[in-house]
Amino acid sequence: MKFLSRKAQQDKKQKEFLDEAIPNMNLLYNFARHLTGNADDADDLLQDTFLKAYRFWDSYEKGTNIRAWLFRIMKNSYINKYRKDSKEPEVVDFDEIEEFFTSSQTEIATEDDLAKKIFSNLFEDEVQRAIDELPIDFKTVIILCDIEGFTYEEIAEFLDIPIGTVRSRLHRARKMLQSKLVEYAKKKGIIK
Amino acid sequence: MKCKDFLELISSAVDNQLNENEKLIFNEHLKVCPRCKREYELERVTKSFVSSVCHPVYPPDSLKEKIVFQINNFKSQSIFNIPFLNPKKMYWYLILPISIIIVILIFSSKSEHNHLVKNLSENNLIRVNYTHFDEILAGNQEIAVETSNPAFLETKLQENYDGNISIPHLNNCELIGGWTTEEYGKKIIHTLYKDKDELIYCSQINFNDLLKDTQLYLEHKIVEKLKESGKYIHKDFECCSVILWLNNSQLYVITAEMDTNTLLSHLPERR
Repeated sequence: MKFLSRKAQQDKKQKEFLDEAIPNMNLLYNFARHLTGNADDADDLLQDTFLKAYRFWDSYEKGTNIRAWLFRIMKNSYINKYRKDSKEPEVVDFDEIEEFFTSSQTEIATEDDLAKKIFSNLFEDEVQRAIDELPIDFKTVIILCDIEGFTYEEIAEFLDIPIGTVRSRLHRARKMLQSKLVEYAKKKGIIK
Repeated sequence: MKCKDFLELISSAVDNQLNENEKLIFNEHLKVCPRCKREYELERVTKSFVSSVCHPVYPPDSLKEKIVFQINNFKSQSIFNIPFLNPKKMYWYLILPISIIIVILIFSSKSEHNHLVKNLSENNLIRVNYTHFDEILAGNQEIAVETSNPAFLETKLQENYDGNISIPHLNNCELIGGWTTEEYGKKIIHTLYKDKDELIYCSQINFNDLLKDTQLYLEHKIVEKLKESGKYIHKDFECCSVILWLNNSQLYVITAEMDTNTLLSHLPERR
């Protein structure tokens, strides 16, 4: 059994953490920003995540996927806050969106036209709001895949879920997002 | 290919994650099924829209610097940061060398006994991982002294220890046994107790020996407080309790994954 002085232990831990965890800050911040939807909450979430990660650095298995570990901490921190704030995710009616796009077919020549009409009239903040309103699991895959540009393998590893689940979750997430965007488009009078 | 199978592949197609064979089947179906084609186009456009509108954002430098600063100045959560010492006035002015040994059990989820401490790194105690408790409980590995009789254990341990030994008698707990180790010339006694499905590990070392150690330190005020009152100092951690007390120049450090009140209820009456 070898004893290190407290100071030496702290120094070692700090160095490891600064070398391995801190370089992932950009990635984590982007995730935080899209998770929370605003800069202030993202700042808090990022700080919270890194301080927690540092506190529990000893429980990180060296050599394993550091990003996945940090992502898990961030996601859990977000969920805890989210639960505290008692925000309930909105329920999406899949039938409604299905029906909408089916019935719209006669009015608009092609799917591309319909989508372009909707999307070209929406702004980033509206899209961000639509993403914000998705349940956490669906929001996460949209951020990781469509904004961060990760592969399915990477997402599966981060979230510790099978690739098939990534695939189906993304499909459902995008359907939900379409539903939200259609809702906004309707409100703005872009479509009837 | 059925439409149901097709729908399952839409995301992969949109994200260009299909293998060659899947691509072939997918494209064939796309040609003959307008409804599925529509689904695919919508998802493709949605992804493309989100990707084009939402861009990765990066943290401001000030935030990065702030976090690095916080890490560099991180104050450990310490079992010695106890409320009655008024933390604002606390300062580490004298590093009193001691070596405290603590426990810790590493437990995997395999055993129902695998409960003890996972994260004790943020205290001032040295983290010592004993990995063989499972084996001891399973009877596969003998510890130095196995007994349920504290008096007998004291006598046996005395053979390897030149100070006073008093084995704390924990209420309603089964004494599994004890052993001694020598670290940096200091003898340490380890005892293990069992309370239903919880394990309680206790280590004790001669207090004066600890004070001579130059590598570790215990805040002076704590030492004084301990000497003065002999009372338990306890602290709840996220997944365990740590209790420290002084008795007859023996410093006892005890940990268990149970709340402090429960752990205290197992201890001998406070002096």
